[in-house]
Amino acid sequence: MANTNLSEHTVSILVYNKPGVLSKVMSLITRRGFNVESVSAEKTSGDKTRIIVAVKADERSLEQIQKQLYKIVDVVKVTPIDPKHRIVRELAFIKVKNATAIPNTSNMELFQLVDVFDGEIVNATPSGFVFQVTGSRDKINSFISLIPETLIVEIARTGIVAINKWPSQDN
Amino acid sequence: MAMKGARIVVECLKKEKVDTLFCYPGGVVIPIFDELFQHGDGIRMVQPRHEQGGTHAADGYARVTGRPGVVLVTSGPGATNTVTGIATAYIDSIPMVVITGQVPTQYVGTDAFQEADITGISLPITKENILVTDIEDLAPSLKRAFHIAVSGRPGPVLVDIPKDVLLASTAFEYPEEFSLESYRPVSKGHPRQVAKALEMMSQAERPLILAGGGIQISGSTELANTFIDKTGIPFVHTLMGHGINPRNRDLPSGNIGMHGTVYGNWAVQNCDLLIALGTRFSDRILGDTVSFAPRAKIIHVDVDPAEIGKNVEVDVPIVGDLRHVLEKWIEADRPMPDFSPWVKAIREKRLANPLTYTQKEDIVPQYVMEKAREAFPENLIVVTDVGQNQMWAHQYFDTNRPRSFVSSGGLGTMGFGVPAGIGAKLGCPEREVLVIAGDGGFQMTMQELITIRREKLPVKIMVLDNGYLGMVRQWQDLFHDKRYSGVLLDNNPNFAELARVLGIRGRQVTRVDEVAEAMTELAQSKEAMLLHVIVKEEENVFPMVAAGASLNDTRTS
Repeated sequence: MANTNLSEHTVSILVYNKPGVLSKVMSLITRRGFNVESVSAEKTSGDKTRIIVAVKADERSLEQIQKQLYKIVDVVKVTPIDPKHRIVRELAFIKVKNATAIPNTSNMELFQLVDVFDGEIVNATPSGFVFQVTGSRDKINSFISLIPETLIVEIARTGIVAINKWPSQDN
Repeated sequence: MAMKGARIVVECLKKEKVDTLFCYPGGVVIPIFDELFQHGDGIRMVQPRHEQGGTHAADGYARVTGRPGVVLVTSGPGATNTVTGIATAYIDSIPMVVITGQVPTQYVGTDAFQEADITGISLPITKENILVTDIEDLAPSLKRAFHIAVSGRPGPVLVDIPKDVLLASTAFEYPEEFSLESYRPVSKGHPRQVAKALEMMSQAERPLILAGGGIQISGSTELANTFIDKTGIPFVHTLMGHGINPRNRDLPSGNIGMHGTVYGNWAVQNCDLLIALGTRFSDRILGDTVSFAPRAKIIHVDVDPAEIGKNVEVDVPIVGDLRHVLEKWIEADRPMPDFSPWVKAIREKRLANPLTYTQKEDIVPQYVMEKAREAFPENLIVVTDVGQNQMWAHQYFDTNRPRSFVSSGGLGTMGFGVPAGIGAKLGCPEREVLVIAGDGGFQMTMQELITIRREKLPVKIMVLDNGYLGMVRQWQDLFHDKRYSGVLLDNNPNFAELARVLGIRGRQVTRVDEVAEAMTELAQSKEAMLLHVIVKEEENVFPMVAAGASLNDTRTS
């Protein structure tokens, strides 16, 4: 497949919650030559799990991924998420050192940043803090980029979850 | 009554009417072999010399019968030895059920003796695979495996059963039906698309049917013949698409692609409507994608939605069972225009570009093919290995019956021929089976000659020995200035003598004047026989389209 016009697409995949089904889905996507940007999965109802995958692909390849995914016996439904009409969130924990340990930084600046980004301080000790932020990938990326790198100890991110909105009333 | 898992496996095979089981024992599957010994009545156990051979044999059995080939092997190396056979079946859409033993559940993941993660390994080469961790899931898993293997686009399914599951007991109940929300193969083509396709045919001037392997897989050969006769549309076929045989002999047919006929490739490049039936447009058929069938609109019928639009852009996609689509087209009884100028043009191309070869002193393989075709009955099953031998067989045995040309098309698996021939003979014992192999591929699985002897199968084998890996040598000849790197097979034994040592009739042929008579002996032998033919070292397969080149550049020398 030609690697032109690659853009990020999000696909929501409903599967039977069987052992190995996540690896079947991921293996298929990677073996067909697509880069996985993000993945999240959780049991959603009864015997089913929803996997949300963001991949870089062109339109035609995206269609091909969907068809290939349907060939996995345990895949029930594949729904592309419309980039113009979706709700998308990611959650991240950022573990930082107490800023007073480093010259020219202060915890107050960090707390203001958390506030601006609608984040939370979910753990606070004399050694350091854990911040929680949610939102789009871009928002989380910019939050992280504003924290001095030397203070960051560890980052954990969920990968995106996304869903199509209800169709709007006026069309 | 409670039944052990091992017995349940045997009872499931009986429920599925499995008459032939390609099996090789080992530690963890001893319980199944024990049950087969006591309760395996009606199941012929065929033991290959190597699990790969058993898997190809199951594949050959499936290709000629349409029923799933069934394999039973042990864990670890037993399971990994089936991988090439599974991959071969997968890419050619062959139904197969591979049952592998696994180490006991409590040892899974501990690097136990003869442990291999075969469900992980086989993931990209199976239609479905299942690790059975609970005895209650055993019978339903086997039902699932058989159902999925044969339905929709067929393919291999692997069922991995840990030893403790084989030893556990439960009441045996085989599910009558299999139903799963997420598995519903499409059967009927969309009526509007089916009608639209027919409309386009009726307006075409130069339509052409491209017949793929899907026709014989779906059991539509007779329907395709009828449709071709009814409409007068000429056809070409792929390697997997042998077997079409309309009554109207005036209609030109021919294979296309890398080693396709000149007129076949010409017809593709000049048609204005290409009706592709059950083909996945492999790169061996397309050549250069951009210049493929440049003047044509394309109708593509396939049961697998993922094949449509994968390699070529299609104007009328029809997802559905070919049988249904062809039935609808025939029923519609739509009058077609007179395609005879187009048919005549193809026929003239054919007359001007016949397959040719020069037979001088050294025996050339094409001559051997012609003599074989003359000596064997018409309802022959040809089983090929891979390489030049395969392409010559493809060109010279334009088989006119479905399921009669058995060849590893997609994977191109050397070593496929002899074991697949075993499976073909077991599947169709009343028909003559001729294996055509080169000296390279033959040596990859020649231990299966012992299986032929043991099972007393009158399989006929022809080894074309040019002392080279001929197809690679041909590429080196044409594209690498004859730097014959790694292709010389200069220590080949006398394969006829080797066959005799293994208890099989063998004959070696070195002179042209012996070929016809030796071929008659091969064809008329009541027992298995191997004919070792020493052929010209450097003969190339033509026509040929270089990899990725346009079908317009079909070279004949």
